[in-house]
Amino acid sequence: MTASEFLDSLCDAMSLERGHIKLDDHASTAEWWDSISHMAIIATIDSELQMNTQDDPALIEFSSIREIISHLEQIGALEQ
Amino acid sequence: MRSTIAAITYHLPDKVETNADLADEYPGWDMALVASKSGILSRHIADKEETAADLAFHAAKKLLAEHPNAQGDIDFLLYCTQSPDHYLPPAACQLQTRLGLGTHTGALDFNLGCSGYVYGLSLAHGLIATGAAKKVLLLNSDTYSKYIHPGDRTVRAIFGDGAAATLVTPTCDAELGLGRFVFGTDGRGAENLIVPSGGMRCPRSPDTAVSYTDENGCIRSNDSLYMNGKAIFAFSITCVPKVVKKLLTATNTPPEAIDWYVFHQANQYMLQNIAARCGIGPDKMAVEFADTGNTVSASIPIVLRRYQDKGLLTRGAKLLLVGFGVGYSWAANLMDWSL
Repeated sequence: MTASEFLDSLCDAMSLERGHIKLDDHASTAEWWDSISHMAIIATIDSELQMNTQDDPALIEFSSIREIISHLEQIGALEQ
Repeated sequence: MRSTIAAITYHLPDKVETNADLADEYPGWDMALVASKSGILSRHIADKEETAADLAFHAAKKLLAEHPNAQGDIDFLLYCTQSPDHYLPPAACQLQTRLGLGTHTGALDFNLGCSGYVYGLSLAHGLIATGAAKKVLLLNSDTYSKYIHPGDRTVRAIFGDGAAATLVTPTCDAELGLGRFVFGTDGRGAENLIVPSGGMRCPRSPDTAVSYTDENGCIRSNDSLYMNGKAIFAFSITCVPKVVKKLLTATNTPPEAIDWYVFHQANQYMLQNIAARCGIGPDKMAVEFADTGNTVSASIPIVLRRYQDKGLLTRGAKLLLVGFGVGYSWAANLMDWSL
């Protein structure tokens, strides 16, 4: 899965129009990002990428889309 | 010797706190969002002078009123709480006397949260299976509200107070009762759901009582309950599907044979995600917390009694129970309903 496809999955999971979530979105500024949205991201990582989020704190504690995608690419969960 | 649930009931405090009450107190809290995602509309809150043991007492009295012949035969009392009246003595000893149970009654407290009901059933089953006891009264009660800082939205909107009483007895029926248990523990998650101070590790002090505001605007102190909701969520959606699969595999039970999956009633969003991962349809997922919130170890027995009252649990129904949470701790049981 590419980063772009992952962003589409996030939008689908949160019932947002595809393209709504941007690479530069940050937890403190994105209007869609609340505690439930954060859990939706974790759930999407778990279900779409088959990642065990519980075992990697970086897959739980992140504050920007760029940060989580960069980490997913580093660990090979997303295509670079 | 097999054992089974012979009676079950619950008690909730009279005081009710609605989402509207919280919105009035904290206008900045988006309680509509809380309701839509958590599924919780109100919760019962113990009075200042009302303890978890008081709630447990009322639950037990209700059970004994419904089953007056049970009282004299109870020979063990198990009390699960994380809101003890005192460090010592064990509240179970005081409850033995308050309930008028004989002095031949064994009694002990155990400290578990959301896994505490299934653990309690397993302890009761062990006592019965070994012949150490014949009738076990299991009480589950908590008043997390007493640990919750009023300004901490993450926990105040979720948790409610409540108690449950369950009578576990032997059964000769090979087709009914408690079946296989599965347990698990991962103490690496201990700090994700914790009251940091108040025990011997970090006694309460003026310093621990100082409030702080986190990055999400939630207010708490080290004397109050802290929950890392993101970490708890990740743990739950990872853990529970594995436990369900393990129990089904161990008992050679096809998923379609389960009539009801009765999981700890954490919140709607959590249960929906777990159900999706387990492939459980809404017609088999027991949900019952809109007016109670998350009542910790009492949540599963509250569901069982309410489903029984609604006629949704029939004798012989196959149930898969999973309790999971603080610790981290989890436990599951496969049972055939006998009431």
